[in-house]
Amino acid sequence: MIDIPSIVTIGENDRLLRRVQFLHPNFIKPDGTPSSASFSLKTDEKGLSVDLERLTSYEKSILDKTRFRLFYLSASFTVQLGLINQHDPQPDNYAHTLVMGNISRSVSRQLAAAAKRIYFP
Amino acid sequence: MQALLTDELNQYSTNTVMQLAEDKSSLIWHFRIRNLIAPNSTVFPDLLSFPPVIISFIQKLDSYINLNDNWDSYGAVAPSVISIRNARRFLINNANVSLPYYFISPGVNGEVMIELSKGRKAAEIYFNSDKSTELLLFENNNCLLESNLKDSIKELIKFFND
Repeated sequence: MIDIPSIVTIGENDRLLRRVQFLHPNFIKPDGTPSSASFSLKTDEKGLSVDLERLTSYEKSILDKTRFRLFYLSASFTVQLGLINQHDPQPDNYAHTLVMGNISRSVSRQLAAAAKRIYFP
Repeated sequence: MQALLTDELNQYSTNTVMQLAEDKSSLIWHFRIRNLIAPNSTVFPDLLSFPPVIISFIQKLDSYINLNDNWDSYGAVAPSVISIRNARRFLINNANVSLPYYFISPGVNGEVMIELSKGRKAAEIYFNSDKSTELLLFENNNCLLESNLKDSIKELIKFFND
């Protein structure tokens, strides 16, 4: 019998983690904000992959601290942009969440501009 | 070489090596930089006239050739040769245009993005794998224009020089 992971509801106060590469290539601009490209969707991608902060740890979410910095988006902000936050647990990552909707170039820029750095480690 | 350097040939010079011939270290540096821009070329840009930011961007572009798929850990496609070549051509052709070059990065679908920024104003130019371009102008991160480079290069220059 296969265990089906329970889906959690994402609230306004939740934070969504996204790792951003800073080394070869660097996605973090001189002013410390991430490039829009790091909040863009691949062709045919259902949504922007993030981790629900309360279901993971920074250590796990950052994946490789020698290559990535960790940023977060407020769940309420993505909703303000008309996007939907959907918990999407994966076998190796229960915290996996998708930010879905029309993530155009201009929306990617707004997401990147609103992302806040988490100083970890 | 021709594919790379067919535009704006008046910007290029063949006498730069002669100017630098007395300084061996400069000559080595010059050939290294030249090979980043136009490998195997006998007609190449006069690099000494390029602002440092352009040289830096071209060096970064060249490094993108070595990226593999999934380079961002989220499944990004490696930058395409077409995207890199077209971004490089844009930089060379507009190296001395008054534009606030700010940042360069690959995109997740094989494209290359060049960002320009000056105060509250910013622009993003995308060089896509299918040879198309996208140009977006922003003020305070609000999008004012979505177009392409061919149709709106004048608006781009005007935007930053008003």
